[in-house]
Amino acid sequence: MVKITELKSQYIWIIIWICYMFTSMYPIGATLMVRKNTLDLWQFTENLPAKSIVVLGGDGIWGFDQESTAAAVAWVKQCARRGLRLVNVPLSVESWSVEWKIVEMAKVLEKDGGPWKYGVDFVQFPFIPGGDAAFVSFVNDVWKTSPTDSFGTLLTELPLMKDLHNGHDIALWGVPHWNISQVIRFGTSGFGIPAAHFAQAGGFVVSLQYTYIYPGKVFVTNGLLGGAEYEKLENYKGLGYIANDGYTLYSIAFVAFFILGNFVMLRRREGEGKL
Amino acid sequence: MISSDPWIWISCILMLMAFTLLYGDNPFFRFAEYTFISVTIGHDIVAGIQTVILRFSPLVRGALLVDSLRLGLTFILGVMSLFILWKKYAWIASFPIAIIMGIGTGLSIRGGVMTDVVGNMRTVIGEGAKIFTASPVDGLGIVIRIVWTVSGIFYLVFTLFYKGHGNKVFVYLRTFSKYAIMSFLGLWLGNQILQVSGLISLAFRIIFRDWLGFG
Repeated sequence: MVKITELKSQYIWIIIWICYMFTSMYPIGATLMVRKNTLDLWQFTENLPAKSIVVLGGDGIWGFDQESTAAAVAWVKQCARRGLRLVNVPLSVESWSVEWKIVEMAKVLEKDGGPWKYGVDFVQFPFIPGGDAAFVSFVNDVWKTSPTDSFGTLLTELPLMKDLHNGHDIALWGVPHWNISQVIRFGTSGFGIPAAHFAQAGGFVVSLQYTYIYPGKVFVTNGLLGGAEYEKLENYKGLGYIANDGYTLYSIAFVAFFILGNFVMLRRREGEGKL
Repeated sequence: MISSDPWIWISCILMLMAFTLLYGDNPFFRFAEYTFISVTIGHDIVAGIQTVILRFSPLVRGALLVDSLRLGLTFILGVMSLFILWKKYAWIASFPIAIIMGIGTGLSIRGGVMTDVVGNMRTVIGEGAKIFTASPVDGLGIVIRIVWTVSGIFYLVFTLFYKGHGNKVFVYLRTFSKYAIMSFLGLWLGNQILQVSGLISLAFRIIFRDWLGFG
């Protein structure tokens, strides 16, 4: 009988490590099927009338979140391409930097060669403290909740803000943070604001329930994989594209090790006379 | 070609220090951990100060009387909350804290119940009618959602330890519900792994491609 080498866990880790390393250096452009959740959001955004005001904001984040950023960047690119207008509304301290970074990464501002002019097509609010109360206040009266933008400019001096007074003026609220519940509970439920959650993979299964409660009004993308799907729809290669290569390659490796592990176990038991 | 951007260098060195935790707790990991926490706190303090300045800037720019009163009241409540640092007068801080908690609780209870509880139940009941009219795949999905929702509620809310005649039915239901919850947690864990592995891919990309210039 052929002697089979022991399948040590170290071998598995080395192969997985090589998969990560190889795809991070040489993107293979693995194929990807766009799932319904992601496609629904893309189509909804695509059908919004030009000049509609969409929001990127919320709370529930600790540090910079690359997972939510992947789909959010592609979505912001789509908004700019469709001629929509964007308002960033950070409701937790770190949200500000994440939302600003997403817009910068999308390269949609005039300074980056994009179509959006600050104050006309895009406005960045300062961090608005207060959690749920801040959100409710914002959708009830934007101007009273924050009288200035993030740079101290009064809202009266920003052309975009003439069309944004309360939740009824918002066509879609995108959340690149954890707390989608806040937007659903007070925005979608109270004002009928459609919501999109660029969820972390870990939060996806929890957020998914809202797509059933409010079908056609709440959309969820699934972490970096959802980001890769959205990037495919927007024909853009970003963070999701990079991660998808890794997922694909080590998923194949996992299946291979699963088969190999069982094969080794069965041969060993056969050798011991237990089969 | 190796990157000449100092921020990429700092980012990658701190990332490698954080990865050393895989070997075990060590001073390099501690350094990266403390740096991250310190930077976050520093960022929060600066953002907090800027927020206060922006928030109250209309007061010095000639705001309307109503707005001035509103902002003035908010400012007083904010100052009151700082008394929590002074043991003798910490009770003063209890007023703004009570207001914050009262508003927060009131909003959360109403919103949470209407959406997460009533909304979920309404969806489950509404979907029940679609089982036979939907396509086989959608129908199966609806059945799973209904059964899993009812099982979860049964296990967590209506757990009964009935020991009389026919108690086996309850035992079977409880066991099934337990498996339903476990399957959800398994799905959740699977997605958590997806989350971590995706982030590793991005970290490797920064280290090998952006920093060391491979690929």
